[in-house]
Amino acid sequence: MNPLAGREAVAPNQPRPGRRISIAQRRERWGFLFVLPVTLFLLIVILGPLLFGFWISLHSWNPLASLTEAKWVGWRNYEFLLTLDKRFLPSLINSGYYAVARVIGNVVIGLALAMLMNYPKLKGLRFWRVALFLPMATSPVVLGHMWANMFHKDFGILNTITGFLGFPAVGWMTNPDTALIAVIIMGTYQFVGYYAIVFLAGLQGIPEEYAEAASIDGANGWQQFWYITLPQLTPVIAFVTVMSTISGLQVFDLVISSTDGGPADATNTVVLQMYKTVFVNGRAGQGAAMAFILFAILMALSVIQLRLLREQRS
Amino acid sequence: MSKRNHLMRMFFPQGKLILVAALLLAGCAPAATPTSAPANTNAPEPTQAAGPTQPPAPVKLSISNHLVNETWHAGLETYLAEYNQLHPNVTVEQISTAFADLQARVATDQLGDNPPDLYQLPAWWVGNLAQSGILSEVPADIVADVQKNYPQGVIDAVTWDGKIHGVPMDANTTVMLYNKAMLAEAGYSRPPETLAELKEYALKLTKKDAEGNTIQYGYSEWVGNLNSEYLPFASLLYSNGGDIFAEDMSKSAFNSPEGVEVLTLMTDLVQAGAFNPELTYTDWYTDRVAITVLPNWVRFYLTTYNDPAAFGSAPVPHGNGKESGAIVYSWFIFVNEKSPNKEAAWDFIRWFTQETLGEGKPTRCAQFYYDIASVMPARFGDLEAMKDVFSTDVFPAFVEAQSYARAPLAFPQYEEAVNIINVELENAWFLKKTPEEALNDAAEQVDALLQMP
Amino acid sequence: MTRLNRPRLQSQANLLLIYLIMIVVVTVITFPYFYMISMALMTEAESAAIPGRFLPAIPQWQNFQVAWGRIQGLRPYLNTLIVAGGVTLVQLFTSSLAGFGFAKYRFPGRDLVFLLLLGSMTIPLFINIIPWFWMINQIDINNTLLGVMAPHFVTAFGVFMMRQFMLDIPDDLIDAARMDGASEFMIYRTVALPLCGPALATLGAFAFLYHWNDLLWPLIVLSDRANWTINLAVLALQGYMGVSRYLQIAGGAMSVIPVIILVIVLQRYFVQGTALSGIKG
Repeated sequence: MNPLAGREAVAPNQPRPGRRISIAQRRERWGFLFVLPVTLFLLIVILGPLLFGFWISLHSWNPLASLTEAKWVGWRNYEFLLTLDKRFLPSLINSGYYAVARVIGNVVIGLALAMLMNYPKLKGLRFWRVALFLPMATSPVVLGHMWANMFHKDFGILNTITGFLGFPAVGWMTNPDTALIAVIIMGTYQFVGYYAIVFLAGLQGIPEEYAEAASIDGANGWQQFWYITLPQLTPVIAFVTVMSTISGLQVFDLVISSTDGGPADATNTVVLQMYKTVFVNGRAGQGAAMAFILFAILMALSVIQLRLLREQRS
Repeated sequence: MSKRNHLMRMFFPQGKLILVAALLLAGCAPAATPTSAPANTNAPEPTQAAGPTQPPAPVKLSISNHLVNETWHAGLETYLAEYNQLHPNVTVEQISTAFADLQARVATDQLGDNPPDLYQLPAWWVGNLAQSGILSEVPADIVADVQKNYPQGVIDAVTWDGKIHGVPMDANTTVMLYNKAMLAEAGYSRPPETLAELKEYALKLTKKDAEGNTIQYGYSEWVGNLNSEYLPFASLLYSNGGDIFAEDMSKSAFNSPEGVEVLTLMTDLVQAGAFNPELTYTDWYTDRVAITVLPNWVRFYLTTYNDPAAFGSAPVPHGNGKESGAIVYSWFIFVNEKSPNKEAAWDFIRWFTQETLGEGKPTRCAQFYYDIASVMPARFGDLEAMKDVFSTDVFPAFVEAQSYARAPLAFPQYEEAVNIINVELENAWFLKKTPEEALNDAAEQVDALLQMP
Repeated sequence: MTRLNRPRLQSQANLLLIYLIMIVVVTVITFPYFYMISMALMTEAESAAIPGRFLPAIPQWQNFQVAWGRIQGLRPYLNTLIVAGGVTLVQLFTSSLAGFGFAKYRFPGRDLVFLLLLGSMTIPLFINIIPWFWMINQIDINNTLLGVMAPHFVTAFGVFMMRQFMLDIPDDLIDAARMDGASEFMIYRTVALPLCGPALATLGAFAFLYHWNDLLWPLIVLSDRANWTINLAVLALQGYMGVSRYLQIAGGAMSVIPVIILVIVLQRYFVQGTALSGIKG
């Protein structure tokens, strides 16, 4: 398992170093030195907790008690979550709905906004971009809190507006049928501008000649969009889709500061369920097992992402 | 210990990368030192109550609570300062964390080297806390004091496994609140007393406008809050002669016919438009709800947004031939098992919860909680001292309930169980499940929790 | 910067329509911010009025004063500045150093480490809290700003981003520096770093923002009020179960204002980084 040991063994035909080492080797050393701090840090701060988390996921442990009281339970935490637990899989599904709906919203609206901003004569690009970027830069806790106030069925400003337009008041976050939609609206709001900027950069990267050639051939706006713009943007769209899904599956701040999972568990997302399992229900092992199931899903998505990146480069 | 070493060898057979190994050790053995150390250090502590000649050694205590709001925080801070004046060698530092994050705070505290000496926490965590070994032994005199000066329900609320684990600071009972004007308008001269009457009242008190939208609900609950959903249901269940758990705590009993009857009453009201499960804490005090069931601290809303005198209170309606029941829950103060200054910490508790502010006056604890949110004390002496306050507006029924209210059966997974029951109640209220289905689903999950070791 | 040329849309009417749509979109996006300020200026009764009010009858400017006093004025801002600024500076150094190493050197295990680094980006951060807390206790930095910062000194995303950037540095440039006798560290400092200015600015801007907004970890680490970051201080403004919401909203606005300024001032770098994340990954 030691990569260094292996390397030394297969390099016998290099000049014997003696006290002096070759330039190539010295460079190799420098390269190694450059990444050493990060690597060590990574091992301690990321991989360590990961191993610890995995170890704990095979135990039953209340985080209030000392760790010596952790009891070995093998794979039973995983088994329980995937079979008996009535709240974990629904929470995973909620996160899935949220992630997918947000991706669709972000890609469709984001792309539309990017197309608008890409209109040649549109002035004030800087202004539009700053405005669009703001929600993504704002603390999700503040946003969630703000939106919870706006969505409130009584003193929420949204119902004031819809009431003014003649619609009945909606209990956005107090009705299980609409609460997840409200959370999806918040999430889409938070990121749509950001993705619009991503798409805009993608659009700006499409060579002008393509469009010129197409318009000479008599293609109309829609045809240009379908046959030229969209194929050119496919890698960016694919990338955004995967990134947004990965982050969407981990939604937490936004939910805990607005609906806290309710009503009737309609907005209970997987990370929220994880948080509550560890700290409220006092079952750190089970929470860690949840984290690893989620981790496996995210890893699979990342592999897809890496594939896409590779395709993009070639 | 041996498992950890084995694990290390498994991952790092050559013992290379010492840092990584150290880290693994770090990850796997957090509690080894902290638990053993204080056990030795706190032994000599009692002796520092020193003779008159030598000045007592300075003691620093810390107290962890949820009084994160600046005015509450400052409120307790004045008492802490007063304590410091009376006991110049003792300083008490306050650490406040928002309630939503309090559990995470307590859990991580225990991993640190100097966790807080004192905690002010919900007593419905008592089972969990006792099981985790955070609660230190309560001195005999304090146990005796609690047994003598508090109602049985409140004593039970801080008891787990037959032992009192701390001192209750307040009492929250659950009774029915009703809007006097609305009842009078409908021609009722007294509040409903039985469940059948509750239904009749709630239907009659519901008003719709010309378009069929409800403008006044006959009955409401505060949906979306841990205690305000479960406690009214549990109180009505008791009042209907039912039980929440089997006597030996081996399984759920709330899905009994009595429980189904209570929940069916609620869903009937939902279907008739008399109860809307989307109602939250804002509805009942804004003159849109006639009758509700809530714990007493919500009086706070009446003083802020409405007039407490406009509301009446009465015991929760009961089933035919049954007696009204209620649940009383408390917050309690206790000393951390890991505290090196247990004796000094208990001294502070004695001062805060037993010593009065003067002849015929309440304790500081009672005064403090009443001041921040009109919370009711549990101590007989405090109720007596503040009886002028607690005989006004909605208080009397709450005070009376202290005599018959039962404690929440705070087994280690209590809060999780309550969360589960709440979710299933919501499923029934929103007509996603029938009352039987909802309660049986809840019971199945809660039974699994009850059977945990 | 080329732009798609779509002659059919280029009528004045279309342009007007696009402006109109953009104005609506921006209004929707910025509405919560304006409403936040409006609500922060309401009285208790106005903030709980039914139906919800747009504007206060008389702006209660003293709400901000009260909130300012309760969060203890400038202090949480300074704390947050130290945390976010400190993390950012260290991250810039570690990321660029490692990014340079990964991009321009070959050494055994490089790809493995890099892969691990990439993989670590998908770990749900939540899993780290208990071990991290234990670790900072071991080195006695619990309840300090350093304790908040320490676990964030390295960022996988930052390393990844810097590597992608440094891949574009021509090898000739580096070789030329070597000919001049520059040491490898000097090459990093005098050749690679200056070329990465925009990338560093971008990474720094994002890192600062992220740590300005972070909540859960500082909340666990900082028990002492004097050390609270702005988000923690704002959280403490919350009233009892929904009471005095206007105060917390005022605090929220106060924590967001620096972010808005930052975004406006550094917008070039944010846009650059955003665009980069789509094109380069």
